[in-house]
Amino acid sequence: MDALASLAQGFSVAMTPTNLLFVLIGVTLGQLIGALPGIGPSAGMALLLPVTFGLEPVTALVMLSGIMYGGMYGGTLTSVLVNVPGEAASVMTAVDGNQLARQGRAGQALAAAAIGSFLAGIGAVTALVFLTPALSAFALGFSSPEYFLLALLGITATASLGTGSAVKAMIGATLGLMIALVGTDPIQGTSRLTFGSLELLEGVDFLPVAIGVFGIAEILVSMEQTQASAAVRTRLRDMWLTRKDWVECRMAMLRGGVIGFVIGLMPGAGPTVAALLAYVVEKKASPHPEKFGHGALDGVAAAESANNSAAHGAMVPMLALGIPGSASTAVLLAALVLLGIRPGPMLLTEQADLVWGLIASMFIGNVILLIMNLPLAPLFASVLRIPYSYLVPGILIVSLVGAYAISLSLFNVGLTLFFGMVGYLMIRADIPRAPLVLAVVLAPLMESSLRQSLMLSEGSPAIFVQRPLSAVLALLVIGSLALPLFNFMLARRAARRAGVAEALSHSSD
Amino acid sequence: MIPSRAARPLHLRLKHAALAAAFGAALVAAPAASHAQAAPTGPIEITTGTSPGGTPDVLMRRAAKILNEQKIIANPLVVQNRTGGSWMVAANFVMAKKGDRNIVLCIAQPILTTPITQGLPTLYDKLTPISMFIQGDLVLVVQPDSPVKDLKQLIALAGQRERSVKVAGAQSGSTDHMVSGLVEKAGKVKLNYVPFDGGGAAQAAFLGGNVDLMTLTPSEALPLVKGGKARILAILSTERSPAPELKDIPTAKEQGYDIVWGQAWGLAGPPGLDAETVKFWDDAIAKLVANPEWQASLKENFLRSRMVPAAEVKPYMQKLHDEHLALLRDLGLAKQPAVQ
Amino acid sequence: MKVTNLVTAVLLLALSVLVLLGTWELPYWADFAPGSAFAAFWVALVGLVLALALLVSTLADDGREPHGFPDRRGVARVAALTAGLWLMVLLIPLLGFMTAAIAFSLFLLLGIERRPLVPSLFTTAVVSGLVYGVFIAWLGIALPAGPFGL
Repeated sequence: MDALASLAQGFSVAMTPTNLLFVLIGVTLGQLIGALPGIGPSAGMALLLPVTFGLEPVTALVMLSGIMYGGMYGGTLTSVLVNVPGEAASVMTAVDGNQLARQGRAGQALAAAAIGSFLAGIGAVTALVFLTPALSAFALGFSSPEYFLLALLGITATASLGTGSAVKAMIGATLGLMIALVGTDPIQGTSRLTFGSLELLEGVDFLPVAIGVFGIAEILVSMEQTQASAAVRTRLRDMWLTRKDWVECRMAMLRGGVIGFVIGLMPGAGPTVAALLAYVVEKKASPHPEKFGHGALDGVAAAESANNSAAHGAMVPMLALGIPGSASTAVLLAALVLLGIRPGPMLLTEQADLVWGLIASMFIGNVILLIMNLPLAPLFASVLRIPYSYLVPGILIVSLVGAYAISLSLFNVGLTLFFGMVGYLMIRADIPRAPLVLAVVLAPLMESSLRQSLMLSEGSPAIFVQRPLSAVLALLVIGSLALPLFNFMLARRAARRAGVAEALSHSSD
Repeated sequence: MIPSRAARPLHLRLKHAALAAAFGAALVAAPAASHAQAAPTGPIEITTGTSPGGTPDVLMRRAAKILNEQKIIANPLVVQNRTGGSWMVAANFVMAKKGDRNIVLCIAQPILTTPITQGLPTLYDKLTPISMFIQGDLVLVVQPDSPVKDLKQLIALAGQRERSVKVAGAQSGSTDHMVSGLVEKAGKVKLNYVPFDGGGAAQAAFLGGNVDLMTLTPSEALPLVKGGKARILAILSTERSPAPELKDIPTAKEQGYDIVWGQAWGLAGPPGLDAETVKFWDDAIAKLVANPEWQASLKENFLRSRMVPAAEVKPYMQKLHDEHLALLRDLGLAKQPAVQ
Repeated sequence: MKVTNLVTAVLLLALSVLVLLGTWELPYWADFAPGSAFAAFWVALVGLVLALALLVSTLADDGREPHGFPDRRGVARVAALTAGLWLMVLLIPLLGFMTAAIAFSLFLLLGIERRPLVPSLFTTAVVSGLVYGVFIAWLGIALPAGPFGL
């Protein structure tokens, strides 16, 4: 009841006209900023930080966090409509969402993403209300060994992520691993494969890779045919979710939301990792894994639910401990400092009005975002009625401006173009691009957490099974590796018994 | 008056030519040029190399806000984050703008350390020094239930077995890493330094009880101490901090170990910045440092604002650089051959 | 597909060798934990194995799948767009972002796509207005400016 009373207090703070107005402003800006490629929620929040000077701390904070989760809704738009990830966490949405759009189902993809984000968001805030102190302890239980196993779990799934041959999927992942190697080694400080380039010293940014490999590459492929300018013809009323779609997506939303929230809690992983892992898990859980990569609505729903609930989950370590769990919460912490409030373990008690006002505002913000996104999904989707060749200059130029805005340098613009060409060649060589993106995100986490773990344990690999959480994860890793093998052996034995071994060797081509 | 004019792009050259003409006229009319005319025209960019939300970024944004609000500087000040290359992208951007009066670079530790660790030519002595005006302390913290009560016991514990005391910190070559190196040197012990992906991740590892020791700023450490999640062993300044929350914390020096390290931030101009503009900044920063709102905002975060003016900043930076170089060499991280 | 696969395998082989040689001097192991070259070594090794696997399976496979290549005109269009994009990036420091982007948009619509003049001009105006309004005016991002101040 204590939490409910605090929440009621929070609502009384959040419901003042000023604060309501700023929640509205925040989520609207977030929606816009999320839709712009290159500028993610954290950069957008930082750019708008000066606007918050002179506001009440609560007002400033509800607006900034509105940008943070509003961005998660907005990122879906560009991913689905033009295959350019609006922000890093929407990268998996670009894979399946855009395929759906080509099938004339953009409206459904957007609606499923909006509903998934909303349900996951509301669920995450509810968990925030009741469980923040307990969850913060849980979040701290995760450290390097757990991160390593988590990343390993994701990486081992890459082989199954492709749509064609497993070798080609693994080649895609290996290219991603190579990209991730570039830059200063965070543990020893030596520069690796930078070839003397200062710009590469901090490694290759994720966004140029994502924008290039998806957005630019797709446009290059579309240029091959002159007829590509035909617009996707759909009527507005064909763009709503049907009952069948809903049944297909609801479990994906639940799984995605839970996975996203748990990963969001961990200070070492953010919404991008959350969306990737939710997508990978969903592919395994889905009744039709073969649809993934060719327009799976449940894949979109899982990834989008996960990134929104991860954005909310990252508030737990931030509010309870003062630790940033993601780039966006780092900016929120900076905003707190600028407003003269010291974050830390005492924030929950010392600034109860602020914290609970913020939490209550997240309920309101998510409702506003649902209202904004759901009825408008068909409208947004109708952008695709513009002939494609008139969209191309806009997509390219806005993508490149976004790439420039990442670090205000032309280097990233060039890098985006380079990866656009890489992505084009990958499409031509039939190498799936999703494993590459997955590897780029997970490889640094996997490498540094492996090394940190062994440093913490003074070289003993037992650290991966001694800790309770890591033991569970280790079992999951072994299970995910052994299960397909086990299934394969069972199938073989059954086949042999039936004496149709030849048939099997044909179908496994 | 304005050196190396040819190196600048056309539009700037035109702008500055007009400006120089105006200046010339003003100088003829009033040989003792007043400061008011020394202000650059148009918006001024403050370049930082951190992403938004990093300490230097926050400090520069706050300074910019007060400088503009208090009308100390009339030109709009814009903080830009040019990330990449451990500040080298930001630094090189400013280095290339020779004599440009509309840009300054935020000086933070990587400006000194990245050239050392990457074996690049030094930067601090090529930029036009303006001022260092923000200083911060560091404290060493241990787990609240740690048996270690002071530095002496910590060193004793670390001496029992090599690399048994685990230290969390940011990336290799960061402030945290250098402090860990200083502790090793002062106590003649070996610590197990585990670099994490930034200060936040290191703090999470510390709070999760995975490591024994960590370096924090007072504003990070005090809330943790208050919440019973950490205990401060020592402050690494030359003398105790006067702040009421910190005055009871003994310095490392008091405890018999010569571990003195801190953080410092400031501004520098591009190479060949004219003396007028340096004077303009010198005056502005003197006013900023005297501003009560600025002082109060820093005090809240346990930072200090003592101005090292333009005239003295050169030897100051030289000394800082040599200290960093010596320490990084001890840690085996220096690629730069010698003091240049 | 055969030729593409062979090219892919050779490229991957080359990249793996590059990674291996590029990190050869770095430490493989340091104290308790793997060093800088550890991950690089294994990634390169996996790359080599995959490249060989692709090579062998492609050579062994005698099925004649048709090439997925575009026709000559398609290749020319893709090449023209790529060239246009790189040219735009090279021109940005000289012309400024906005001017280069406008020039690129017109080149794409009129030069490559051969669209009618009026809708092309309209599209370009909308795009540049969007970039100016959102990125420059609202978010205050310092895009490189050209001689016209934009």
